Amino acid sequence: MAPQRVSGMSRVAFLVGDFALLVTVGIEAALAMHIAHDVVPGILASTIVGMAVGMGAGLLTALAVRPVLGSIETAVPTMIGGMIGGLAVCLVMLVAGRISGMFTLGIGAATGVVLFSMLMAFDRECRRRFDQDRWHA
Amino acid sequence: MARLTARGAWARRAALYDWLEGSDLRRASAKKRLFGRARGKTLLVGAGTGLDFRHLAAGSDVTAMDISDAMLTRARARAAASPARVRLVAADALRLPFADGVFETVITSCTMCSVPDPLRAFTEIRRVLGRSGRLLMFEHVRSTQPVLAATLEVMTWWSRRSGTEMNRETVMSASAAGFRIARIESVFLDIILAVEALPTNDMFDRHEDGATGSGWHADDPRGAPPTCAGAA
Ligand SMILES: C[S@@+](CC[C@H](N)C(=O)[O-])C[C@H]1O[C@@H](n2cnc3c(N)ncnc32)[C@H](O)[C@@H]1O
Repeated sequence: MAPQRVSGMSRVAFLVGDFALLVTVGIEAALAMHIAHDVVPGILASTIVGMAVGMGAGLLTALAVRPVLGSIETAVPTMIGGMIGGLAVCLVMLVAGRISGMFTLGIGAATGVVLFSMLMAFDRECRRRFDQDRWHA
Repeated sequence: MARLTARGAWARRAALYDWLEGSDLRRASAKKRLFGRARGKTLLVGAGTGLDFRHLAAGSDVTAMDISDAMLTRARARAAASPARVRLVAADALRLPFADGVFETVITSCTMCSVPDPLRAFTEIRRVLGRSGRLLMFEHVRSTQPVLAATLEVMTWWSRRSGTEMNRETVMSASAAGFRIARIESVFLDIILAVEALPTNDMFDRHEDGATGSGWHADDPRGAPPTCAGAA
């Protein structure tokens, strides 16, 4: 996800930033869903509230880091991370019933790591696709 | 009408633009590389608050235009500080107030997400570009990856209200307006791209035959150009 041809240090810094953002957003979304299921009655209502609050929290986090990591570069992954973090918790709850806060935290972090890895893989694919024609400055 | 709407939307966004969207820490190196390819008299379409001025080549002759006076007001200080000689002009990208073929380079930077009709804007850009000119685009576009494309689609539901479409197929619109894509660099996935495009020659041929400079005309054998909606 980091831009090409930036210095090695900047590239690593952006990668660390992207990783931290996606893990944070995943955790926020997962916790929001967990709490919503505790406090909002009805599975449908709690899922909708959990998803909305999780994505809202994610977007606020993205807003805070966009001056460093970029606007689109944070908004797009955050939208996806906010959604799948909450959905993952719903799915696990469906299978396993009630889960602990720590377990929820782990699920959220894991969704962030998975999303980061998938975006990295797609980034490599995009570079391969376009890089036959590198700039010759 | 579109002009008034665009002006209004961008006047409202101007005050917060630098704070919300102005950081190009991450994009700076790609921009510098792309804009460094500008040659000769250059037109920057959709200059905004002038964030890109610092990436222009030293001493280059740049006309920076935007539809929004509020944006241009904010761009003034950056124009003065730019290494290039920057002249600011308030104008509509859909009706560029320049003669045919006067520019050697046209730059767009996150512009095509914002103009109401990208195909028309590209057609105008092509008209003002000389035969051997080049178009340098730093643009965000719709992704080819279905989940990312759907996300950009959803984001457009609300970003459209403030004048930005996240889901445009800008490279395709440029081709439809008669540009050949020479190079593409991925800046962020396949969403933010640095693109160099060259005008194809058929427009100039028709132009010399007395056809309009629009690149498309009613009896064009290729039929009507794709509409903005089709291109978006
Ligand atoms: C997303 S901003 C990009 C500004 C700048 N290039 C940057 O990267 O920071 C889009 C710009 O396009 C301008 N714009 C929108 N519609 C336009 C039109 N029809 N003609 C000229 N400029 C237009 C807006 O006023 C705004 O400044």
